[in-house]
Amino acid sequence: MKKIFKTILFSVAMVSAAVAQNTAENDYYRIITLPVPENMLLEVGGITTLPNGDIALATRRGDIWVVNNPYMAGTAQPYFKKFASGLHEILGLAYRNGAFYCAQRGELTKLIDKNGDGKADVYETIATLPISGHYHEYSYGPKFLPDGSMIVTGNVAFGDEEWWRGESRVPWRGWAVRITEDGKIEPYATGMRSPCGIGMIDGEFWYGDNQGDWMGSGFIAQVNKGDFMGHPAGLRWTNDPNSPVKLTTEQLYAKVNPRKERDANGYAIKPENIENERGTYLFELKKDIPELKTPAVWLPHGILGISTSEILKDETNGGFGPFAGQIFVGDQGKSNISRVFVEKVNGEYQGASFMFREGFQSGILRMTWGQDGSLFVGETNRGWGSAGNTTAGVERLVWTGKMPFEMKAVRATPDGFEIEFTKPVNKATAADFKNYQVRSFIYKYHPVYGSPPVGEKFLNVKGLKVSEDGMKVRLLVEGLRDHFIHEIKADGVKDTEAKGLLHSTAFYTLNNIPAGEKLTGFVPRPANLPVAGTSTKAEKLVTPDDRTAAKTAAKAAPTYDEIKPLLQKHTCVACHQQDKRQVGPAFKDIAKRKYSNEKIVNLIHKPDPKNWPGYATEMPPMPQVPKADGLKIAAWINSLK
Amino acid sequence: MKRKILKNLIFCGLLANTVSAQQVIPLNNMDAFRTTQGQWSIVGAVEADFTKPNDLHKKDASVSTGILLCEHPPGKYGIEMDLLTKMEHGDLDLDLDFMMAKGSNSGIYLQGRYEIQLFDSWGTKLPKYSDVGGIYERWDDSKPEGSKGYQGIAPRLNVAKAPGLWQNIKISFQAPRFDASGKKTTNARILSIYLNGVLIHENVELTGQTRGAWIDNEVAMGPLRFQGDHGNVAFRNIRYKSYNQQTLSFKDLKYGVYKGNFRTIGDIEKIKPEYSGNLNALNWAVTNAENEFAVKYAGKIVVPEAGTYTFTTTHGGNTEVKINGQQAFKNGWMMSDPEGRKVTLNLPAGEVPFELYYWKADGWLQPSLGLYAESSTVRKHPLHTANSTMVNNPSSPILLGTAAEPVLLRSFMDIKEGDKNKRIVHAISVGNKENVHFTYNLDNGSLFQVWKGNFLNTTPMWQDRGDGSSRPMGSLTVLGDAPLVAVLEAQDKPWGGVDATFRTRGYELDENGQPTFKYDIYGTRVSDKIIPVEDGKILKRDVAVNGTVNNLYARLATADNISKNADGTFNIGDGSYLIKVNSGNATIRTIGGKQEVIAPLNEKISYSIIW
Repeated sequence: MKKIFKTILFSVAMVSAAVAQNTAENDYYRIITLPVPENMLLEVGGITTLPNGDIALATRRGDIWVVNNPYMAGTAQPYFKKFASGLHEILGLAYRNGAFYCAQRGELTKLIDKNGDGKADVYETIATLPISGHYHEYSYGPKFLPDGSMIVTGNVAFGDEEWWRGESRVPWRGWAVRITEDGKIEPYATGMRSPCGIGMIDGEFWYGDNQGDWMGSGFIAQVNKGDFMGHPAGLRWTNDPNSPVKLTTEQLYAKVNPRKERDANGYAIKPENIENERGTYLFELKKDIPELKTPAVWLPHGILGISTSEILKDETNGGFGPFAGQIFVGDQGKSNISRVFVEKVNGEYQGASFMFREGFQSGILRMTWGQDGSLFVGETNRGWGSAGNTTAGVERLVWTGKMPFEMKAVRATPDGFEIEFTKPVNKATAADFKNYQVRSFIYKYHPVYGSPPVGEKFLNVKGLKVSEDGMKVRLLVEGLRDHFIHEIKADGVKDTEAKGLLHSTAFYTLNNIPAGEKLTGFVPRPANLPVAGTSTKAEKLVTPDDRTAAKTAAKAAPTYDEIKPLLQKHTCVACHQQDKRQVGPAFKDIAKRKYSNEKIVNLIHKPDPKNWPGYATEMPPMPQVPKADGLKIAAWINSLK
Repeated sequence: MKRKILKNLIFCGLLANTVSAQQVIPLNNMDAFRTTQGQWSIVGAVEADFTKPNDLHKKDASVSTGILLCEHPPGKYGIEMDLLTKMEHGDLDLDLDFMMAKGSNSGIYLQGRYEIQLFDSWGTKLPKYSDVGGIYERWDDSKPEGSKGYQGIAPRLNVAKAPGLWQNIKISFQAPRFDASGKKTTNARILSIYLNGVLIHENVELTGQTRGAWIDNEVAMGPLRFQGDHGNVAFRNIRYKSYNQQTLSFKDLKYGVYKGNFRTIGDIEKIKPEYSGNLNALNWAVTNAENEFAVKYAGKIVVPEAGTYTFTTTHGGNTEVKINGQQAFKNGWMMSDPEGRKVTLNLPAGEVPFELYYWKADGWLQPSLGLYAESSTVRKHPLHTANSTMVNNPSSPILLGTAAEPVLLRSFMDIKEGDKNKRIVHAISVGNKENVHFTYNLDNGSLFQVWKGNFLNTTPMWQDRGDGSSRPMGSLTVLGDAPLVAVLEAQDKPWGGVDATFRTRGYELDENGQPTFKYDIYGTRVSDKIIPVEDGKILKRDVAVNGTVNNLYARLATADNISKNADGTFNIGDGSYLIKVNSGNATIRTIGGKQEVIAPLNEKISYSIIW
């Protein structure tokens, strides 16, 4: 009797938890929070699955925990056992042949339990990593290559005076290194700034970075030995005889101005985004710099994330749903997971990124597959902030078994794109040109923190063709530009049950336009249908309009419901909340500064991170926010006083 | 000409720095003291065998003065054997070094009446009022047995060093206050005591004289008294600052609050204050604003007596200050640096004009305003209300304690090498339940610091993003960041940096969780185990090499001054710590103006660090 009662209670608890996360995503992928004993702080920096299905966690406080029964079967409680402690801010964990491997700030370490008491007694230094002691010099990894050697990546430090400029103070900061079991360190690839995003996919090493100086936005890329990924700091060591990259800092700076300028008093000037300057795009340097590798897939900043973390291939063979073989990418600041479909064209990776799941309790740093095809997510936000406002923890993402209506894949074709769906479409909606919008843009390659999206164009979908089985639509698109990000929106497309797409936007990074057969037998675009486009780019307002806009904004502050679509459209909510500190300050705290509305707009276009020294992540310039929108947002912010 | 002289005068006035003017009780002879029946003498050097009860004696040295030694065999007690200074004091800051013999007991009596206990508390786990640094109990004979003693205050923690080593104590004392009729109006107070660099008392009220007071009363002025009837003890470097009870204060202090973004006082003077009022101490909070404000204070400072005064200002934003018509602080910006800006001025007695502007234009900066005054006779005191300098809510500290098994933690560790800051980037600290802890450098195999007390403050690393470092929480003894082992082709070759063949291999924990560090160097494997022994009084270090390396040496210590005590221990840095070699053949060598203890390293060496 008692037992029944308990069971009922338990189900009630589960139901209410489910109700609490009542989002559309939740119908298909459910988040289960791992219960953690009180006072146990699991600021996860590393996570891995052990051969028996147990999960092991490494924390930023330097502990390694083994979690028995993380699936909460039977007793429904996981059991935590501390395997090791005292390590230096671990940001990666792997398990191989009975030993753990982890990257500490200044070392790759192997941990062995020799006497069989379930605790490490050998803390073996595989390799000492040079480090200067700057706070930002984090190290990530290892990831095992097929030959048993390991990849570890290292963050850059920042300048003392030029605190905005990433620098490599000691060898291999800003690099990925390959380390063998016997401790040999081989420089592998450079151009990395904050390479927290690491993954091993089919024996190949992948890396992700996020916006920062020289980094316009987050992205992922497959990295080979000798690749240069774009950030100049690590080039300082390319004259080392062991360096596989030969490009020098001077050679790069001859192509793109690092803007190391000083004012009349001799103080260094922080480079800011130059609004009306076209700037250089990273891919344009490819012809001069053969070692340069551009992103395989961009994860547009503020939309799909703000701080790229784990890169993980779906190896569940369907256990996790319809995306077997695709890539999932975590995001620390935005507490979300993106999904990436990649294909190889002309020998290079490219593909599409999609939002996959939002609403995690804290910043996602690491992910691993559970034995049952669920995804374990290790979380932390201390010092970095995140959309989920819990400090730390572990969550598990479980497929409910229900098929979501999603763009399963987007493939490049010689004259456009082919969208593959997870379910058959309602053919009428799929054949309606009004339901598609294609826009392309890219980011600047400059020494400024982040980049606004630039070079924006709305493209004409000239024709389309729905496949016989309703699973695919091929779009004939005019004006494709290689290397640009092509945003493909399919908002009105419905499935056969009249349900819309769970996520209706794809971002395709078109590094190469494939050769092959052109689309035939398509439905042409009706001649009278204009190319629709709602831009996120500023349509330059003339002065009188500006004045009117200012007046309107001053008259009555908009309500939150009025302003919410703008905050979402311009990605403000990726980093700011109304009342709480997130990655950036709360709108309420901004209001306390008593800036004028005009000043707030200026700060959106050209942020001054010095105003907020307690926040570690800089705000990138966002000149793409139209002044009229900016003034509305500013008026709303100032109404929060 | 005239102008230049005036300028020079002001210049001198500004520079004459009296803040650090400590007075010294000279230990060239006994002239500073009243006569005593105790066995007190002035000597040039002392030594003690830390294992022999009450052993502390004069040692031959090139100098014959500087140390005050009391040699008193136990068993004979009496106040007449204590030593009193001729100097009498009221409010006092005292700073001295002392050395205990094994099992010895002494004390420093402020005004001859309030005892700060000195005791051989080496290794004591839970200190009481009767341990070193304790504020000794009071005594009431009228109470029943067992409750006669009361109000003894134990130090926060025990950071005692071993007998025979110099220890440092810093005491800030506030004397009792009396009215004109001689009636006590305010109790005496210990403002703070630091023992071996660690704060062990704060703001302790002394309701009356402690047990064993010189005279059974309380007074405004009394001598310093050193106890000399409970065993051998030595003192050196007795420095003090003695204060009268006077303070500076404001008269007719008016304020005006301005709103706006100001750069200079010229900008402020252009507009009218939004409101104004009177106060008797500075406080930024009258502005009722977080930013883009200015406050001007104008009035008079009442100077108790003519003299040289030092003012310190600390602020978030800008201040500009005029005192007695002189520009005391020019327009200067600061981020609430507690060190502040300092100026020294000659001021006449009586009322002098005062003017202070404080303004702030940086939104991110926390407002704060403080102004302190002091002189050689006036103790540093604020001229602002207490909360005016509290800039924000400080974060809660994250502290790492010890456990049944050693607690290990890797972090960056900041140390000083001379005046230079150095960050050890591959450091590992080991905390033991015995409350003796150390940090080891995995980049060169050096044991570079040891300490007693609590283990680590990890706030710098674990708060917010952190800077990757942690800090020891106790009395630190610095051993130096240099490799333990090196090949010396000849005895006169200097000890260099770590050899290029050095490669750390990490560490291994034994069944008690105690680490053995391992590294490769010169083609051999070195293992290095450092553990507390004798209940944490001593750290024992066992170093073994796996294979023979010609001319391989271990350097156990380096310092300006190393001598060998009669018991065979090496006395490092003039009584800073001791090295006892358990197995190995160590000698002292002098090289490059320094002294070193080195020993050939064949298979192994074992030594103890005693402090």
